[in-house]
Amino acid sequence: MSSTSVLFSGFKPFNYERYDGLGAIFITSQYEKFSNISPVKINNSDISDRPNAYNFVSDKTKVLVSLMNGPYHFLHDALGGTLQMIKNFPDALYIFDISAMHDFDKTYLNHWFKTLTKKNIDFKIVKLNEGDIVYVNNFYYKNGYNNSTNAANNLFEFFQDDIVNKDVKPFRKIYLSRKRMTERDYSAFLTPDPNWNGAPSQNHDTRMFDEHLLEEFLHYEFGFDIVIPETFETFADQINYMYETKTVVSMTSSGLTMSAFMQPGSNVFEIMNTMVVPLDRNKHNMAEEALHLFYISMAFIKGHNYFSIQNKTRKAQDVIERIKNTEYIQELLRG
Amino acid sequence: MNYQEPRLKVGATDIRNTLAARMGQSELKKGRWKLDFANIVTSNVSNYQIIEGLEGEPDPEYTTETLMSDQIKIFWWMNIGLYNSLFECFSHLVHEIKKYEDPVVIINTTNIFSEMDYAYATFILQSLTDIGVKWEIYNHKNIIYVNNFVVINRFCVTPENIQELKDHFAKYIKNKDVKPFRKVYLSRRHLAPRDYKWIKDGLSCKTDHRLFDSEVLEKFLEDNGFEVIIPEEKFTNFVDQINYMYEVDTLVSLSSSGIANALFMQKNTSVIEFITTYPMGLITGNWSEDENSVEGSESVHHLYQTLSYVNHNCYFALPNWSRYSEDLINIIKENTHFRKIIMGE
Repeated sequence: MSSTSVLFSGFKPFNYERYDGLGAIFITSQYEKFSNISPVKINNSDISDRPNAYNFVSDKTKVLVSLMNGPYHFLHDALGGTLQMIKNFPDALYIFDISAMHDFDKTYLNHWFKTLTKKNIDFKIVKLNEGDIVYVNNFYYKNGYNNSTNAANNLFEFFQDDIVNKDVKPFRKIYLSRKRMTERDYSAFLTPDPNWNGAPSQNHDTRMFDEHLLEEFLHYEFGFDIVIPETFETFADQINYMYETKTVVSMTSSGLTMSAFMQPGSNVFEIMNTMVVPLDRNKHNMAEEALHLFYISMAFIKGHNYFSIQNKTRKAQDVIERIKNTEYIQELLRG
Repeated sequence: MNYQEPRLKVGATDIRNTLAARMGQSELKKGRWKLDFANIVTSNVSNYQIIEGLEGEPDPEYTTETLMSDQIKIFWWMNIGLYNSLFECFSHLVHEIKKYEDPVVIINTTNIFSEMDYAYATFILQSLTDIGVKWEIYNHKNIIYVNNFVVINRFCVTPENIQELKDHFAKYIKNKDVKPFRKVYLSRRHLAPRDYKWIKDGLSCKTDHRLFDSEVLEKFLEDNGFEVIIPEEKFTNFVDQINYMYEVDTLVSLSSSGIANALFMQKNTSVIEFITTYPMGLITGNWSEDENSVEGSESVHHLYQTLSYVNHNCYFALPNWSRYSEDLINIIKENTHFRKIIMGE
């Protein structure tokens, strides 16, 4: 329970390493990320015309980034650090590996590339899983996850041009629904064991079994709009919608990353779950169950007010009862 | 002990982790072992070493002792600060002592040197006596040959740990049926200044003053029916403190180890944290006297949100960016829900 979120660090800002000279990155497995590479020093004569080789040798400084799927990892982990690099090296060539991206990432992925083009940032897209070697010189590459919650401010700043009405006073009350999320049932390889201190308490990652009941309650009792983030036509629409939001309610969910686009002083209300993440599907009970405390840090750095209650049973009725029995939570939801 | 910190991302709090739990289990060591107390860095219990060796092997440099017996010996370090003491240290001892019949706890207290820490440190020892657990304080820097022992060197805290701590202290609550009614603010005004001029520029602040004008916020809260307390001054014993906290309905505090007191609050009560960052400056483990000379970092600590999750409290957090009371008061006044909970309007 000794976890922290580093806001500013003089030790290793944004986890970027510098590599000087000419190097080759051998792609040894089916999929290797730029965050997990060991460049090998080579000479110009070592560069060959292999059909699956990427060649980025040039006079420019390069920044290698493997984009990550899902809103949290994409926005916070991948873009958060990248935006800081763009501030520091606006003229560099940015090389984005999109091997890990899925269809459901398209909305924000496309918007990201369009915005880079508008801002005249030089970039190339690669799929590392389709290559076998990358030749590159004088570059930065990301070593590990982004460790700074300053990402929220970088995101807000970078996408400012998308906001249509900057003067709008936030007024929306929204609940972020997870009904479009696919089933996360790990029962085939994960068996909860109450006697084993390390085993997860459950073998799935369903955050609430009957979420529709909570949605109905928030909508009919408090006038909340129920929002399915995946249904926004464009990412710019989503940014604008969040910019107009005064209070967002959500279970622990990557959708809360969008609170980065809310105006300072807004309200973030998290119905907290643990998250169950399998570590090795081939090994019985190898899983991690953790509280992901990212959104409180984002709230802090953005100047939002943050609230949380627990969702231990994962049943809507328990959360509803809690709200019904706590007058000042009702006050927040009414406001 | 090859314990490693859980491989978690920054910002995550381990609840249950197969790897971490497996590596972090305190293991009963049989046979003969040599404990090198001479080289212990007491502020970091994970630094000490266990070396397999022969009983009674002479060491010319250090005095040697022998603790060979059938009784289980549990080596445990007390740590400074209420949060560290209770959650990161004592919770593991509470767990371990239940596993063995009639163990003796061998306690290192060299980290406890301030009067502030004596109150809970003394109470923790008393609570062991109260359940019939034998203990001895051992602060010598010697070599010990020992068998049948366990060393507690875990930091990772699980919900089970927190629940066990609550259960351990439950018997000290005098009136279990009392309905929580107190509105309490935990003051830090008694703490010495903490200016870290040696940290390099680049952080939002180089001080660990959490509030520059605490008297302003304290007056505002007092005017709104809060009891403003400094636990170390208010209570002469820890049992009174536990009982007082059991009666608290709303606890307000800056980010501070005092919020560890929320452990003794009842379910469905509220914790309001004015989130304040912690600046830290280290250079390969050494502090520097020179101004602007040490790389630093600044962090939000998530300890109390996690405690609230386990303890079933409502948890509220307001950003304390400027470290001035007026800004916090304005946030409270501008929000209907904070006005309701803090000002009762």
